[in-house]
Amino acid sequence: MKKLLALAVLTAPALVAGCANVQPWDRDVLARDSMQIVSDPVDNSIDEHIYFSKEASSGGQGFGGGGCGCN
Amino acid sequence: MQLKRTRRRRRAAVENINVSLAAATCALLGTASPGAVVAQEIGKWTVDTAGLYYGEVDRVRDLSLSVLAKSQPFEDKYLTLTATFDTLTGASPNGAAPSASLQYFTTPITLTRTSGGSIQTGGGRYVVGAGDLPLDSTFKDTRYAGSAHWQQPLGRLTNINFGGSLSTENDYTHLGVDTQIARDFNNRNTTLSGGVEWSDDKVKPIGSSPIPFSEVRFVTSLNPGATGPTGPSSQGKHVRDFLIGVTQVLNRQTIVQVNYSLSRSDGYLTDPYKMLSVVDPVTGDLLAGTDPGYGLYVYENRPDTRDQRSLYGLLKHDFNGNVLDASYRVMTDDWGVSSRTLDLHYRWELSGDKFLQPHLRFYSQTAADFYHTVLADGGSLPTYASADYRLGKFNAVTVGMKFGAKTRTGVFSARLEVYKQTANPSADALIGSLQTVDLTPKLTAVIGELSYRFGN
Repeated sequence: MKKLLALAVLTAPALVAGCANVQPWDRDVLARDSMQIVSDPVDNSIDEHIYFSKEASSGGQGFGGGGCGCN
Repeated sequence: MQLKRTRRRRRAAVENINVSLAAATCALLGTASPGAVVAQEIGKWTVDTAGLYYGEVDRVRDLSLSVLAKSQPFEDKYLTLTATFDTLTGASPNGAAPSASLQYFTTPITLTRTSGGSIQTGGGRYVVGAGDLPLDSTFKDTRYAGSAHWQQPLGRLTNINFGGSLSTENDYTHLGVDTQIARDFNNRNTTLSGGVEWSDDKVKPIGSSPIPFSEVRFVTSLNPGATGPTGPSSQGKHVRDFLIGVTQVLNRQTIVQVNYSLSRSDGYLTDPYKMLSVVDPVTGDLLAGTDPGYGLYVYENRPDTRDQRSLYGLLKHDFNGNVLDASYRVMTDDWGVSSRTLDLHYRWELSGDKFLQPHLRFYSQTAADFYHTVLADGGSLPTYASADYRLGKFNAVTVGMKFGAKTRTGVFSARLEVYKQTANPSADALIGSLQTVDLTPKLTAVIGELSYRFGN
């Protein structure tokens, strides 16, 4: 975990520096529903709840879920 | 007349441009937000509804209805409301391990408060066949959950989102508040976000909470007075989550996100309904309990704190209209659980505003340090122990497909998925007769969902 975190921290600036600077008028593709970070919030919430109930890990993209006595 | 039509067209064109610009801006904001920020006209609602069937082969079934409503009541200010109703029925593993011989339990395997403050189990006796996984066949629960969140700008480049959630079940209530803040940099190509969540939950086990490692007692007509010691009738549980993340536009068709999160839970983290079988350390046979005809089982015990950390990465890439959504998560905790999750969706656009979306998910976790499929008699009692299969070592795979189609009023979609878990027993359970039975049978579940989004 620590190695992965260190790798992420070290590579993040290079990644950002190497990024193209996409202008607002070039964001038609990124603005589509299907390109949103969470493109289907209901499906996402249902899946988070199922996996929270059946596995020992949860969260990551958002908060760890909970609000249920199922785990 | 002609003038009016022209004005109407111009107004419509301006509204469309506004919506597109809002979408372009919102695409890069609120990365840690619970819901996607999508463009919509001021005052208009979009409502997502979904009906879910989740059914495990021979075990739990869940029927659930979910609604998510979102509106932009004022410019750049968003309100999101959710409501969920769940009904759970079927059979749930009670923690006892399969045995080479018959096992007996009483129903329901729950606890009842008695006048003396002690507890007892009661109900009819049932038998679990040799090699079969003991299940609590009376498992039933109803859950209501809801949340409300408000998002608004804080200056030109910052957004804040705050809200709360609550849920209630027969034996559990949850109350949570959370807030997230996101700031754009680099010509809105980079977004840094951070958030915290705090929740205060109450566990009220039916009857009362059992004393850890106390023997599970079985009340029948032969021994009507069988009782055991009892713990508090209500227990508390608190969770604090912290999350920081960065979202980066890589190019016109690619966006990535990396999040790091910490979660600390404290309070009553034990499952009051889970037990462990106590077996002979040489033969592996289930020991006899105090109640005649029944085996020896004890209630589980977990630590009262848990710290989890996770690193999550997401890549979204557009392939000329089709979208790959790939994420990878690494999670560890101080219970000894370490997990890896790879989640892949590919949205494949078809003609006529339809799409297909295959889904693949691979998950694996190591066992918690205190996971024991059984407890062997004779050794010293561990400080903590649980036979909950969710704390054991296992791999899981999800394979699914979703179909969606735009309609005149919204978007219809249907998905079907299969989820499979393949688990391993703890090494200390591979003794004597236990080696002849499958201690961790596979779990297979079918997930079916129909959903409809009103409003585009």
